[in-house]
Amino acid sequence: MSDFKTYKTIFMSVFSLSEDELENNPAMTDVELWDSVGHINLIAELEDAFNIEITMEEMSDLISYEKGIELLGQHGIHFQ
Amino acid sequence: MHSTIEEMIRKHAEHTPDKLAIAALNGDLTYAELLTLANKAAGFLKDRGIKKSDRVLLSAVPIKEYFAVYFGLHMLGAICVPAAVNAKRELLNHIIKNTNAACFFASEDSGCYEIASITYNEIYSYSGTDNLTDADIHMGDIADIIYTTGTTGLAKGVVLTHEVLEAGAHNIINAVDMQEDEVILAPLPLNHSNALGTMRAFLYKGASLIVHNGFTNIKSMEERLNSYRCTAFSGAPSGLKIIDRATRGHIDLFLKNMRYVEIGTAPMDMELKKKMMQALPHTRLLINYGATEAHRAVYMDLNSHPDKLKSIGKPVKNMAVKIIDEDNQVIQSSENKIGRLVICGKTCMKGYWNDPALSKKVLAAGGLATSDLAYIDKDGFIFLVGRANDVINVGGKKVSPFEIEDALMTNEKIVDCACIPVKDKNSILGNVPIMFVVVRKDRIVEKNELKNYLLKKLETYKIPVEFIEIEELPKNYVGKLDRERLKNIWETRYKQNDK
Repeated sequence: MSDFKTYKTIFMSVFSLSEDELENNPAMTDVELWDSVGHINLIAELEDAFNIEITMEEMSDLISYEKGIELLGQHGIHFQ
Repeated sequence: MHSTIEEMIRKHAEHTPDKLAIAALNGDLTYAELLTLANKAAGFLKDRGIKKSDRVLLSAVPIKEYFAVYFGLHMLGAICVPAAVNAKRELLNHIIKNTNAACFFASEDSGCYEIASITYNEIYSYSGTDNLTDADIHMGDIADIIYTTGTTGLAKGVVLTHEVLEAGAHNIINAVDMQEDEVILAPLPLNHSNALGTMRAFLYKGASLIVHNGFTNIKSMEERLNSYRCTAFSGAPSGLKIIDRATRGHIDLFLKNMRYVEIGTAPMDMELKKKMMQALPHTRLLINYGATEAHRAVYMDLNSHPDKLKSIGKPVKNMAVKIIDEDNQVIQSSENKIGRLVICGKTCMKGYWNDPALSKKVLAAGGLATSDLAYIDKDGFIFLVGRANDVINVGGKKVSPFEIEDALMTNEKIVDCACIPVKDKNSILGNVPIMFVVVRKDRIVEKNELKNYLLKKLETYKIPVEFIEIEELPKNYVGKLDRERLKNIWETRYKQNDK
């Protein structure tokens, strides 16, 4: 599975979103299941899947689907 | 001599006017400022015709104006009915109808409720300078109605008088040995009994309350802890786990300046207790136990009683507990003689709003008969051994399986369904609900379909984490759902191993 597909799958699974919904850049403020537990679950899944360690500062910046892509980019994971 | 929380705020506004009372999300309030804003809110409400004993629903947004309206209502002798910020419309309308609420301070002005909603900023339209010192308030008057989930599907309103609120404040102040210069960070929702109790205790004492919007942004929480020089922290076990995970196991550094940490709303597992004791061996780690119906009744100081870690502690001053059998008779309890835990004392509710029959039933034993089975050891420590009903505690929030089942049964694809608690595989929430469903033979259910269906009806913490299709639900010989067998089916057939 490509990194991009992995990232999308994680987002869809943690927050019960469809692939179409990802195109609207879902954010913490609009996704129902994105509460503190959903947030920490997202972080745990991203860390496991991409073998990275997300800092506390990065955790607080991770507020949307696109911010997540930026964050992974800072860890050297880029999507085509 | 007894005082309402508001009378104490007035005293502190007179003696220490410039001391920080509340650091809300949208700014700080000194005691003088809090009193001024509460008076303004009271004046605004009085102008709108709100009078003594009127019920007003408040969306518990952690802003200055919420606190002002909360205390302003009490100053009028009116009754606060706090609601969760994310409460669904159906629940809010149920509460509005059940309380015959006079108005609703909504977090969003959507206008889709059974009564007109007001936004908090409207209180600033009031230009009077009333100072309600002569309001006819008595300690026995109802102050709050707090809605809570019980054994049936519908939420019930717990009636609390000013006397009960003051007693709760004393329970907390005594249990934690609160100092006047105490500063607490309390990220819990302000419609919940736990956070409300903390708020009242701190303002009663003249100490300082720092709020925070949950546990999503740990970095901002840390900044608030440090910038306000907090000496205390209050959270649920799930919140502590989130902090520990976010800090890579360094909760010791995160909470290093705390004189005490108060933990409540849900049971704390042994692993977390030991981790906290190891991380903070010189910090008072105080677990509180109670119910909305009898709050802050029992406390356990972990570091002081390492030999009693399985216990929930002992009753605080002015509270007592007893163990009763099926006939409501008090028994001499021991490890071999367990029974239902009853809490007695000054924070016991007066009853459920508009439900005298249920009130009488739960208070029949001379106190609040909880849903917990327990025993008391020879040293007076209380040990919980199980629950007498099926309510699921999801990270501190009580969830009735019946409510979730009722909501799902409105879906025409579902023939039958049953909800059971399972351990949260991420070890944060304690227990989470899963749902077994029997789908109509000619129907197909898509992935996430049922989850999305329920999201429109229920708060997120009530949504089952998994939906399992099953041919038939196990029933007992009288045709009643056998939840214990269903739990067995989960354990043997569906439960996956931990990672």
